[in-house]
Parts: sequence; C-alpha cells; structure tokens
Amino acid sequence: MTEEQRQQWDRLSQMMIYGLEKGLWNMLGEASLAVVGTVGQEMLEVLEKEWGLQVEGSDPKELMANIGQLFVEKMGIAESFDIEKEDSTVALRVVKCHLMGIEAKLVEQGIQPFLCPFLNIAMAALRKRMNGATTITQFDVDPESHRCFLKFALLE
Amino acid sequence: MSMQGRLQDVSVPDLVELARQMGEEVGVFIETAVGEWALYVRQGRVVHAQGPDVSGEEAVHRMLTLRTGTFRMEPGETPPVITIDKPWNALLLEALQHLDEEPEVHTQRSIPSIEEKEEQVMTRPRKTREIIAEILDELLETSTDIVGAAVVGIEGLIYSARFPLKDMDENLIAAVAAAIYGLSRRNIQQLRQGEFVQALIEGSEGYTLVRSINPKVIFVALLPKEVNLGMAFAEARTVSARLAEILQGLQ
Repeated sequence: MTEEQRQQWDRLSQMMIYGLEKGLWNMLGEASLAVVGTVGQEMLEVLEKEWGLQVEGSDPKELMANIGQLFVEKMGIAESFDIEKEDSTVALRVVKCHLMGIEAKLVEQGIQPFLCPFLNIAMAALRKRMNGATTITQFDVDPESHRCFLKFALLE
Repeated sequence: MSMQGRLQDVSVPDLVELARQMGEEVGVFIETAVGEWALYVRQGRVVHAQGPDVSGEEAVHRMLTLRTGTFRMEPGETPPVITIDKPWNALLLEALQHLDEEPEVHTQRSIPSIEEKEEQVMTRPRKTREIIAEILDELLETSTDIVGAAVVGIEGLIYSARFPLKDMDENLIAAVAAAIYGLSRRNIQQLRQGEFVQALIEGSEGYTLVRSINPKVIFVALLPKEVNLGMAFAEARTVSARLAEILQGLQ
C-alpha cells in the first residue's frame, strides 16, 4: 500500500466510523450510548488477547493513565492527555486526537459521539476492573482548542 | 385468579382499580398491624368496606391512607352487606378531601419500610443501586406476574438486575434493552404517537416488558408465558412510578 493509498484508507475508515455513529444515532437516539460499553468490551478483549496489551490499574486514575499512555504514547492517535480525579468521578482530557474531525462534525449536528477508542476502552476497563457501575457523564469536543473531555461517574 | 402482595408495591387506589376491572364480584382484603380491612366490588362498583370499628364510606377513606401491610384480592367474594351506594370516582374525591383532616393509619414496625428508607436515603450517602435492588427484590417476592426485573440507564448502565437465569451477560441485556427503548421511542416519534410509555415483546416462552421510568432510565421486566398482562402492566406502572421518585430525589 502506497502512502497515498494509506491516506485514502484512513479517510475511508473515518467515514465508516462517522456513518456508523450517525446512522445508529438516527435509529436509536441517546440509547446509542448503550453501545459504548459493549463495543468497548469487545475492543478491550482484542487489545488484551490478540494484541497482548494489558489495560491494568488498581484505581480509576491509574487505569485511565494506562489507557492514555497506550493510545498516546504507544499508538500515537493523540498528542497528549491528562487526568482529573475527584471523589466519584474520573475525567480524561485528550489533546489533538486523530478522530477529532469526526467527533466535532457529529457534535455540530447535535449527536453525542459514542465511538472513540478512549471512551469505549475506558468505559469497558472501568466497569471490568473496578467491579462497579460506571457511566459517562460528559463528553465535550472543542475543535478550536483541539481538546476532548471525557468524564465518567463511578457509582456506589 | 387471586392476587396477593404488599401495599408498599401496589397502592390501595390501584388495587381498587384492578378489582373493578377483574369481574363480577371481587374482595380486597388487607392485613396491617392495626387490624384487618375488607373492600368488596360488585360489577365495577365499590359496595362495601369494613375495617376495625368502621364500615362503609368511612372505611374506604381510612383504607386509602394505608401504606404498609399485605393484601390479597379474591374474585367471587360476595359482599356480606351493602353499605356504599356511590360511584368510585365520587368516593375517591371525597376521600381525597378527607385526607388533609384524617390522621394517617400507621402500622408499627421495628424494621423500617422501604418508604421510610427512601426518606432516610436523602439524609445519608446516596446508594441508589442498593435502594433499587431492594425494590426489585420486594417486587419479585410478591409478584406472580413478574419473574425477573432490571433497572438500566439508556446508556446501558445497570442500576440493578434480578434475572432468574444464571450466566446472563447483564451488560449486554442492559444495552439491548436500551436499544429496544431507543428504537421504540424513535418509532413513536416518527408515527407521532406521543411519548414512549412501554414496549412489550412476546416470545414463545414469555414476554419482555420495557417501560420508561424517566427519559434516561428504563425498567425491564420478564413475564412468564401464562401471565395476566393487566396485572403485570399495573405492577410495572406502580414500581416505575416509585423508582422515578427515587431517581428524581437522587439526581
């Protein structure tokens, strides 16, 4: 595959993600968010079993840090990240994500993005590792500053 | 078909409504710590009520203040005497007017009821899932029409789940229930049929009921094949209303 073909393939992949998100949203509305966990669960399984990459952590902050390092440092799909942890929430701020364009386009149309490697893997890993219910409470996309903000609530 | 349960799950007005729809003659019997109560319905009309030291309309007024206790509903029960000759709506209206004046009939319990716990929860750390789990446990203990239940967020979060089968992937069940809700809601919007209330899916061995608690949370119930759907709907409506109050208080 040439560099040009690789770029075309990249555009096609992004188009598929965009189409999938918008199409599902048109059918399910906000209930589309229910796939965040189920998609993440499958992605996590592939990461761990097929790619041999373990997403581990004894607390939510450590877990999120490991997810950030995996996607930013190992895979390079974003430039940087930082984590905010409060009593019952944990948040991930991602800078210059490769999928920012898709997510921003969806948000412009009033669609809450629900396919994002950080979001899906974090949700699945939090639910699996922390042995408790986790829900997404905030997913902001700011195209101007090239930042995404994902906040999860850890329920008792 | 007789029915029994707790007043914590089905209110007295709901019981009377059910009795009025059940058939020719129905008796509603309630047992509380302060005594036994009986109410008789004939052809959809409440014709007699009896409580400790009270009967007729006065007994109906008092019965409508009962909040805890057990009940059973028996079809084919003939009223021993006729003491009431008013339409149910008129009785209900009068009772509502009396509610501000009448003291509530309390039962004495050493263990706090779920209702009392619901009040307590507002003053202690919020453990929404525990409260919801207790409500589902009570529902499944008393209901003969609901054999499994769950409360899930439309984003797939499981608040609590009580299903009879083992090895079920609760996360997937929650996600599928949310998808059913989403599709049903979209369908109703497209066909301009108002707001989503509930969806019923019939299988060869039973039913799945998906009901909206609020715009963000849904109630899922498994119903057996031989079910009284009217009863199941009434129970689902009652428990959903109760869950809505709890979730509203904890948001």
